[in-house]
Amino acid sequence: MMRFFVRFLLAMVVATAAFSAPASAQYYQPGLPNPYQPGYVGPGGLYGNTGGSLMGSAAMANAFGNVITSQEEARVLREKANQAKIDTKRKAFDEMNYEKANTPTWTEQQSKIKTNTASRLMLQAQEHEVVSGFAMNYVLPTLQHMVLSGVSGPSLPLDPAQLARINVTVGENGNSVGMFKTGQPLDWPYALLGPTQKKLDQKLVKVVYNARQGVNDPKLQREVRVLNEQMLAELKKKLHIEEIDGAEYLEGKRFQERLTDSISGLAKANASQLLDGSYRVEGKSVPEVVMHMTQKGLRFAPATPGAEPAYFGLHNAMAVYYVYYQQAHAGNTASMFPR
Amino acid sequence: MRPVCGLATLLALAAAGPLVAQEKRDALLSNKTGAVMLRTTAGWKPQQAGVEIKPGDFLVALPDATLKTKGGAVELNMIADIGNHGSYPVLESAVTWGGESLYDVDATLHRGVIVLKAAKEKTKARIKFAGETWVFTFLQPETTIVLESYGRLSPGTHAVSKFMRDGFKGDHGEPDLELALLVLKGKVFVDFGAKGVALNAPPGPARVHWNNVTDGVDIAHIDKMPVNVMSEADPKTKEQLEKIRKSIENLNKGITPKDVAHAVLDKDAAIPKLTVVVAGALDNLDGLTLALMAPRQEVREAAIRVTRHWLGREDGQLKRFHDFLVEKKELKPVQVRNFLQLLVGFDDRERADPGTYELLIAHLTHKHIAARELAHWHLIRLTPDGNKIPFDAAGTETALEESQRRWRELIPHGKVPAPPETDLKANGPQAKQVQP
Repeated sequence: MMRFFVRFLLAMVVATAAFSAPASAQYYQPGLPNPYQPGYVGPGGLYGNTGGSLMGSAAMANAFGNVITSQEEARVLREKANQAKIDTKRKAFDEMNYEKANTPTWTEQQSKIKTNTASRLMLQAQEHEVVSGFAMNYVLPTLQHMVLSGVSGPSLPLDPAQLARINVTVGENGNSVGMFKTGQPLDWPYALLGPTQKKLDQKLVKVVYNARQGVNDPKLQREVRVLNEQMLAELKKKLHIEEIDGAEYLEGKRFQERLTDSISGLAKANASQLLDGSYRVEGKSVPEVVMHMTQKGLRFAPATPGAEPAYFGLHNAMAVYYVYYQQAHAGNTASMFPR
Repeated sequence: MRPVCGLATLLALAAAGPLVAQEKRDALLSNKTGAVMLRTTAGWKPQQAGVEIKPGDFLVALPDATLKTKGGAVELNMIADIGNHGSYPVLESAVTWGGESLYDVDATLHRGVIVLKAAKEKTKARIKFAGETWVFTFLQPETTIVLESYGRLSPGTHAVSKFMRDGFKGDHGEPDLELALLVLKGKVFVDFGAKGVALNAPPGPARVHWNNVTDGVDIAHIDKMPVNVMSEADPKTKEQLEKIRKSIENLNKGITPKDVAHAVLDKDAAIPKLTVVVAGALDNLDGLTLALMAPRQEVREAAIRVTRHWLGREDGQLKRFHDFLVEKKELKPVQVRNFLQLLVGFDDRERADPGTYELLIAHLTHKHIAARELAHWHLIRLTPDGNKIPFDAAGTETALEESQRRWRELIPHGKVPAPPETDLKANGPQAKQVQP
């Protein structure tokens, strides 16, 4: 087969040489010597007719060889490309690991935000953040962590009479009964005074009594809720007809909101414990208060009007404890929040 | 006994050194643009350039005036910052000329901006403000400094209410005052009383800030002059200023409520606003209250700004305005309290209280136009998203109710609006989380 192929090639080369005119024919006159042809070259070119055919064959072989070489080179290149791909993958993997190692996780970010927020709520809290109990509830887990890590903190005795004025709830979204905790008559703001308020006040005495005895009277509860809503409607009307000013409205509104929360609290099963003081803030120091709140599952509820100083007092004591811990663990604040 | 006493007195006088009589010097109103008004027992009296200003004279410049002692090397330029070049929205400038001869300039700054320019070195000026006395020794010729004074009443409706119920006794009537000093050119030594400091134009210790809350002086190093201080007003502002100057030239006996009533209807927007500023500057409370009820929203808004500015000028303004509303306007006490609470605004606790937003939204349909405008004024500042809700306090009842409905949708019952994006950027995500 190979021999036939070579013979065929030779035949083709001869045929080509016989029929094709020399390329230079167009530049000089036929019959005259080619002025560009060297003198020692005979007819048929440098190698004569036979030599020219052999040269073509060699060129073919050379081209064939080149093809083979090119293929080999392509294989090498492909291999190199594959290696480069692997290398790139490895580098990408390394980069990913590097980024992971150096980028805080979502949890870490949240922890940092919580630490910063807790720090602000302890050191630069706004008034409403303290009296709503928000600031103290926010830092409660941090303080629990501090207490459990064995930090006793500075000895700052807390006043039990002040602690007794602080309202608590059970669980995350529990209602407080803070308005009725003391057993004293309610100190109604001017904006709410009126016949509806008087009726409500009388009914509330009964509801509170029932709650202390552990008795739930749904009918009476409903009457109280209706009167409470009626009182709110009247408050809005008083503002509209300019019977009260904006500040009086806001004072009345805040009182009514606390009252609504406490009325809801009275309907809960644990109302008697909240009223008799079974659930209350207890402790001689910040760590004791924190542990007590943790063990009983209590949270701080908004202040009853007039009880704000007790909230500021406890908040200040917590802030002192917090700063003490921070100073003792300087540079390790990021790990304060247990994940 | 008597001769001994006389001798002791003589000895004490001899030890104290020769007595120097403290002379007082007049100032020359060397230059002015617009109007310079002198407060007299008979009312406001316009002053022309070239007149002498006596010690104790109280002047209001609308907008510019220059005072200089005879032969003095320091000039005092009073400026109303209409182009908003300074840190505070200062509407007019007011000083009392002191005239103490030991100083080239001696004056009390009540409000606004003054520029002190020294032609020579080692010249002195004494400026009093809010119970403070600062003495300036100019260390280089052409040294120029600027002082800007500004005051506002602390917000808080509850505090205002309590202050009024307590017979205007307590701290709430005293505004929070701020003073900023900037060295524009040269060097100056400032004696603050308890301490002194050398200041120079930027770069260097060039800025001083004082306020009556901390009662301390903060000295700041700045690298270059704030851009807005030295920048020229754009052509539109210049044109407006020129118009304002021309209008003020026509002032003679201050401004009457009739002037205000006429001006608030002027088609040119600058005129009513200017009239309101002049009414405030010259204590024309009739004019101010009239402007608060003007048919055009921009005039009412300008009146709110000027009235708040007027209340924050000095101690006792709240009582003055209260008495005016009770005695002259014959408003009921509850109406006056409501009005003043809305003017003073809401403190941090009130801003975090959903009830505040319910109150303001309820006031959008209040029967008094001024209360409606004030409620909206606060709402759009506390909730910038509300800007897209159309509102005109002078609109029809239906339109007002529609606005109120949309506001209730924007801030539902029991909610407070989310903090603006800028707060979130500045304080991080926790800004949103701590909203109780």
